[in-house]
Amino acid sequence: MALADPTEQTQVLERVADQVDLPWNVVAHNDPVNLMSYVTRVFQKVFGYSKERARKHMLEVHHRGRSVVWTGMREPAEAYIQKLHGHLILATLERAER
Amino acid sequence: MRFQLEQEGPLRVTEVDPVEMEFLMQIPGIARTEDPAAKARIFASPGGDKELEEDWEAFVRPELEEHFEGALEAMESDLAGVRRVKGTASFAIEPGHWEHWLTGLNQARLVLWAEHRLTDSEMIEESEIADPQRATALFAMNLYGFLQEILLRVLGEAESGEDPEIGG
Repeated sequence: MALADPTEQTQVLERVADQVDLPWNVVAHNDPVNLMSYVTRVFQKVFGYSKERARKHMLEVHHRGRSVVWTGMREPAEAYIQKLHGHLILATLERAER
Repeated sequence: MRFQLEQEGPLRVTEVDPVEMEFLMQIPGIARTEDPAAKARIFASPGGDKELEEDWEAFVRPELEEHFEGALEAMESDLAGVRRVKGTASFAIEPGHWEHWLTGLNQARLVLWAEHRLTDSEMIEESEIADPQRATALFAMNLYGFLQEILLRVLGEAESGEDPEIGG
């Protein structure tokens, strides 16, 4: 049996660690159609945010074009993206900066 | 158009103008679009990476299609109960259908916007639109937006325990 190249193993482990450790951002994007009150309500329902926090994110989306509405592990982030799309909010998954 | 929320009952929409009622009846048909631009907006990319894009197309998109279709079917069942009396119409939105209406109204608005390529300035200043079809699309968008706003307000008040009656 051939022994695996330790350099290769290290690279693989680094890639796995990279996937596991990196937090992911759920980013909501601006849309000229969705009503501000609707977007606020969706953020409240999906993330359980207070009206004030949901409104803050909504205004950030409105004025800056995007808002990081949640950061964390990839699996729940994907689930949040699906929920937002279910409410027709434009949202994408992005790697968070370290 | 008037809205009356019955305690633990449906949201009754009464005194609906016949023309507005026709626009409301068209919501499911508008939302079930085949227009590529509109479908691209309704089923937008989740970003992330290639793996997510592929999983999304295979597993999530069918779920979203089912979810949106369920919302439209709920709206259709409420709209099937429309009563037309003395030049006005009325119908009831069942308690379990309120969220479906918010989704369906939003979907129809997005489809109209994408299909007719309405610009930001046109949405602010309706008189800029000369084409009757596009002007009609904007009218429908605004009507659905108005209904969404009312529904959000009624739901907000219902959740806070108040008993709203709103005319518009």
